[in-house]
Amino acid sequence: MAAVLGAFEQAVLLSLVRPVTTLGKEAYGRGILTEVQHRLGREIAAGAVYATLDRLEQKGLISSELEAGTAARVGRPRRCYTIAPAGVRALNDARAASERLYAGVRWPLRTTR
Amino acid sequence: MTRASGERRHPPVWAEAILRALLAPRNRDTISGDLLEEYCEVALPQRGELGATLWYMRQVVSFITIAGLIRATVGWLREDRMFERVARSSWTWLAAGSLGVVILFGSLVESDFRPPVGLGVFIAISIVLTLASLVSMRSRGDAKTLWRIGLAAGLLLTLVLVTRLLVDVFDPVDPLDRFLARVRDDYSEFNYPRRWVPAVAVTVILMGGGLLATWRTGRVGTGTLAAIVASASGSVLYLVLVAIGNLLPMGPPGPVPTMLVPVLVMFSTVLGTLGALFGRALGAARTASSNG
Repeated sequence: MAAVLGAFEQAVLLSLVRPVTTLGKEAYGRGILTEVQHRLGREIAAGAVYATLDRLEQKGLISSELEAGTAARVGRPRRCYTIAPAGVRALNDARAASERLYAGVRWPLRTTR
Repeated sequence: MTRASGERRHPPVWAEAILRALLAPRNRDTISGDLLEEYCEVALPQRGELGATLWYMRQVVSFITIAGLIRATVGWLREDRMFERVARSSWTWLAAGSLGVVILFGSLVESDFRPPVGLGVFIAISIVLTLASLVSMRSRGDAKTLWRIGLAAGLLLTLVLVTRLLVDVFDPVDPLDRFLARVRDDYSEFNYPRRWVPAVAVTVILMGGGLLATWRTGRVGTGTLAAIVASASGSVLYLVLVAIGNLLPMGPPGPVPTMLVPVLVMFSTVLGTLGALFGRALGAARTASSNG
């Protein structure tokens, strides 16, 4: 059974699967932060995204490798992330679970009173 | 890195130093590099120097975790592997728990069960332990364990308190005798089992709750919170029972000791944490034996 994902974890994983921002396509920490902020439509603290990336990597849902740094970051390396097959499965499961949950519910929801 | 005007384009050195101290060595260069890029390319042009500095500080704060604070405080634990080795050793937690027990109970016996530190210090310790334990909650599983053990221990606690009350009701102590005994030079709480036996029982319950919760979840904070839940639920239930008892036609109503709740909750943070340290030691020993 694939790992159970929280909403924020899903947002981080989705930003690796289909990034829409230019920076997000580079798939390193800062790019993922930008992408997640774009997807969720609000400002996110960097610590939350990096903690999630660490957790997802520990669970084996993503992998990372170092790339050489640029002048803009005074030569400090970049950590680029890639989604693992287990991560894709977990996202599929999360989507399926959500669809099961909402099955038969007419959208948008209305109050009964 | 300078702007055309020659102004420095770099986050405050002290803020970056704090950030790097909080980060694991593995992420130190990569994350500080990411934030430096974002600071220079987005925050500074959009927010100005003060706004960008505030933005950077907010990001630094978001990296504060218990592990990060320990890493930042204790320089020799900088290497990740060394930190993990120390944290996973059951001896570390056993030593920490034993040291805490020796300090707390040694000073309590020394002061004949009077509080070994002032109220202000005790409140500060309780607040720090509570906040630290709240941070450690990670999953619903942790919360379930915490509530289950906390409420069971709370019931046991109520049982002890009610028993103590019933002993006083059916075998009352003359207040004058007690006062005279207290002013004697050879007075000691140890001579009065009805005072120290319940205290020992409450201690065992709170430490046991902390131990069990941490043993199950592997987190010291869950143990502390379980003890807090136990003390709060146990003392509130006791107060309710006392209030109900006062409604019964069994003589004059006794006082409802409302201060019992905050006092017991404060004690529970320390006792629960001590028990949790032993629970962590047991958990680490179990993990080590199952791995090898």
